[in-house]
Amino acid sequence: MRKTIPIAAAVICGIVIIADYLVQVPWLHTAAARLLEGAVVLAGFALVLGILNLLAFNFRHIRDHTPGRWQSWIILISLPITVLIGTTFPGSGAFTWVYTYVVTPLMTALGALLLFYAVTVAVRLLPLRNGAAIILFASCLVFMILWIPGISSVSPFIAAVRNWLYALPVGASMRGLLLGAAIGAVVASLRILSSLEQPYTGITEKH
Amino acid sequence: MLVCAKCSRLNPEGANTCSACGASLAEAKYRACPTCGTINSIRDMFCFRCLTLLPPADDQIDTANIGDSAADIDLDPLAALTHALPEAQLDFTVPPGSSRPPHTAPTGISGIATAISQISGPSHAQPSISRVAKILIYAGVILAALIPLLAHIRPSGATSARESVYGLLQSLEDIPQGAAVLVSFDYGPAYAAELDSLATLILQHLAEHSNKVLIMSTHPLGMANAERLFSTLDLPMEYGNNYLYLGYLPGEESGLRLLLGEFGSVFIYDFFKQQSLDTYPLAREIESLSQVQRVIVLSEDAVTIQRWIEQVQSPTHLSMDALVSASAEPYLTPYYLSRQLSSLTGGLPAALELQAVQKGTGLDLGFSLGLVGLTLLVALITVVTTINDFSKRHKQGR
Repeated sequence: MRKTIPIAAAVICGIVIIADYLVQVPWLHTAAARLLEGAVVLAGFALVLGILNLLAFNFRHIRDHTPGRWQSWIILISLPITVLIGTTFPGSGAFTWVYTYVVTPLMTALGALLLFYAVTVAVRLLPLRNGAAIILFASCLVFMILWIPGISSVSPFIAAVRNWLYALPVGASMRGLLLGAAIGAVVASLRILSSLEQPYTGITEKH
Repeated sequence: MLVCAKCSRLNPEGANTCSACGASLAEAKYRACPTCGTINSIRDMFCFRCLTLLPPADDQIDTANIGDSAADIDLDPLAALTHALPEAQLDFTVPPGSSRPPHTAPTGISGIATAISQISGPSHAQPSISRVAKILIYAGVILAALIPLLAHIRPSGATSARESVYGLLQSLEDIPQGAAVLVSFDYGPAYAAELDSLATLILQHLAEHSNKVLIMSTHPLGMANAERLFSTLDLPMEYGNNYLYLGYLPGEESGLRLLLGEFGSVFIYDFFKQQSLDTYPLAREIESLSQVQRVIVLSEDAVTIQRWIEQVQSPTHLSMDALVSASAEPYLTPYYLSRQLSSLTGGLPAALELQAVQKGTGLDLGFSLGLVGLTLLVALITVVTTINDFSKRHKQGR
């Protein structure tokens, strides 16, 4: 019974949602909409749970005198203040100020490092003398050049090369990836609907 | 250095048994980086801390004990690359009691060449990056970042832009004057520098054409992004009449599927003033997606656009424009080629070209020069490395 009820609920929910995509029946649409609303509420609650987990994690850091616990203090002080400002003064400039001058610069700086890491890894892979590494590095260089703003003005040939790359090699490989992912999704869905896979119970039956 | 699974003792590569407890090292799951000593998984190709190339897993190690199955290892491309490494280049000789190999700093021009070659050269021969090499890399990146700020070169004459920019322009022109547009800010602050320019140009265009703009997000920080952007723009739009913040929609696919119903049933209150949507004239006028002429999604990743296409565009056949980060653009090319997306534009370069084409002016070449600088730096490192490597082999041959 401990397993049967969750499996039955998952299978029924899955079939109702899929059926709503395929046939136009009013009561089925209403049932699917109620289920989807439930999923949205759960997703929203997951965010709240994430915040609570963050608070608990940092409380533990402070309680256990972990090195670097001053960072936990910063989170525990700044989080309630930001939440308070956002909820009690909606639409005020204070929240926008925090977001504009604290959150955005920090996150942008971290995001900008991605380019540096990507180039470093591409360069680091070169000594492998491996075909895949050379292709990765060469494509890194080619796309960096093709990405330069206004480079189409230099020569119409460059624009033609970029269009060809996007339409043929990139387009074809992405179509292949999407088809592969779609087939994988169909198989995974069928396994979950037929209860061969039960990710919600943590049990996977071997077949 | 293999880490004994029983007593955690570090043992040299190739050892069969632990020198401390005698346990078999066939079950070892971790190895220490020969450069910095960081413990990495035995399957890792590079040290996650210093990016040093790690030696491949010893053939004597029982691969069945590493992951869930030996088949997992065959499927791992990085593991396959590790196994493909030539053995002659994998001689890590670490002196006893030392975590770093002996290192002598090169001097003069040859020193710089050697330093550069250490970035991309055979890192397993000299695994550590010298200070000069690091300085060169950081200086190059900083220079590339500073050029756009310092150099504002704007040549006269019209700019030729990429095809996607003209596609976006045409798509925007096709929106009737005063029509309703749904704009979704599906990007976080990490991508603000890349996507804000495109978002600004879009909002300015919509404001100039008196379009009614409904703003929402499926990213937890997207609405804060939209609010921040609106606060910096001086647009001739009145909240509630010309534009409205619907709010954040959680639930990914489920949330977007619900969007096919009425907005009022999905968003109870607006994001800005936390008042019921019915209190705003715009919400009373535009009640559902069927009254919207166009959907514009600004997204940092490709998956979000895919969700929008699957859950919203396909059932409604609404025209949809995708403005994404440069890294996401290639993934979405098939959707654009099959016309599920009216336009697909990516990255800051496209924003610069769009701005130049819209205003009929020349392109601000500062950013272009920065990117050229960065590309040249990478090319320089490659050329110097190759020449240095070639001359070394030539000397060894003689």
